[in-house]
Amino acid sequence: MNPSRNRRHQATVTGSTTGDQNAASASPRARRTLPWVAAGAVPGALLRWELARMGPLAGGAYGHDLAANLLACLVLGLLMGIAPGGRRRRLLVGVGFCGALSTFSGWIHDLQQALALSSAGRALGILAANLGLGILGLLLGRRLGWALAGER
Amino acid sequence: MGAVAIPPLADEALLVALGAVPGALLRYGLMTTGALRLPRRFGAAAAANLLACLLLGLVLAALEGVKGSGQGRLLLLLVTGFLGSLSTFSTWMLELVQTLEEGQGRRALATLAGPLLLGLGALQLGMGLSRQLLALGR
Repeated sequence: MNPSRNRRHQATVTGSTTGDQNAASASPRARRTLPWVAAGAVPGALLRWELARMGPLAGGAYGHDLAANLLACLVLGLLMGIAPGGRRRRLLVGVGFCGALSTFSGWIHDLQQALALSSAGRALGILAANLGLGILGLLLGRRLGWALAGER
Repeated sequence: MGAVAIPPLADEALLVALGAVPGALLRYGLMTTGALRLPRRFGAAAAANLLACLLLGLVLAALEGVKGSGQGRLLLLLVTGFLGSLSTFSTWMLELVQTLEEGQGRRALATLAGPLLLGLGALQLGMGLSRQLLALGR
């Protein structure tokens, strides 16, 4: 693999450049970035909790994490389509809000529960629904973002 | 207790928010500093996600026998707030889509399967460790 390409790939995903490898130790940089992440995380986590309190969704209890993950992927796709370069927006919306709204550990726990009940069909359903709708949400959101950005 | 009662819902929302902030900051820190090094092909979010699964197993198994509202509040703070915010699904999916669009099929397979299988393993490991520790304490 081409290492420079890989590095660029990482940077695209984390919203960071190779220059801020020391984000946590360089305090002026931390002061410029961390408040945005925190400010996005609070509404993201509260929305995920709100979804969990809504009562049974499609698929019973498993529907909560699916709804949160789908919504987060849609919003993240939208962000990538509208403003792939906006650094603060990416920290606030991408890392903070979408990162906190979506959950990997909750989804893994849903899978583990289904497997513990030896319900392979349910486990496959949880697996496929989150992955499929997640990717679809991202692509749809990005397409929508492109359309919105193009109209301006 | 003060004279002004805090509405229970606001109280619970505060617990979720209090857990969410350090969770998201730890995730961002793990992603930007590259601490807790894992193979790059697993994606930048893998360290935070696997740590969250391990801790989730520890917490859930530790709280299994505990009854009462204290348990519910701990779950809100630690599981819904902290661990839910520490782990991320959307970033992982974005990494997967970007890897696929770069035409790196084999790498995408690693990005997909690595965290998935290791996540299930980490959750089980956390639960097992927690039960062992509880059994030792008895």
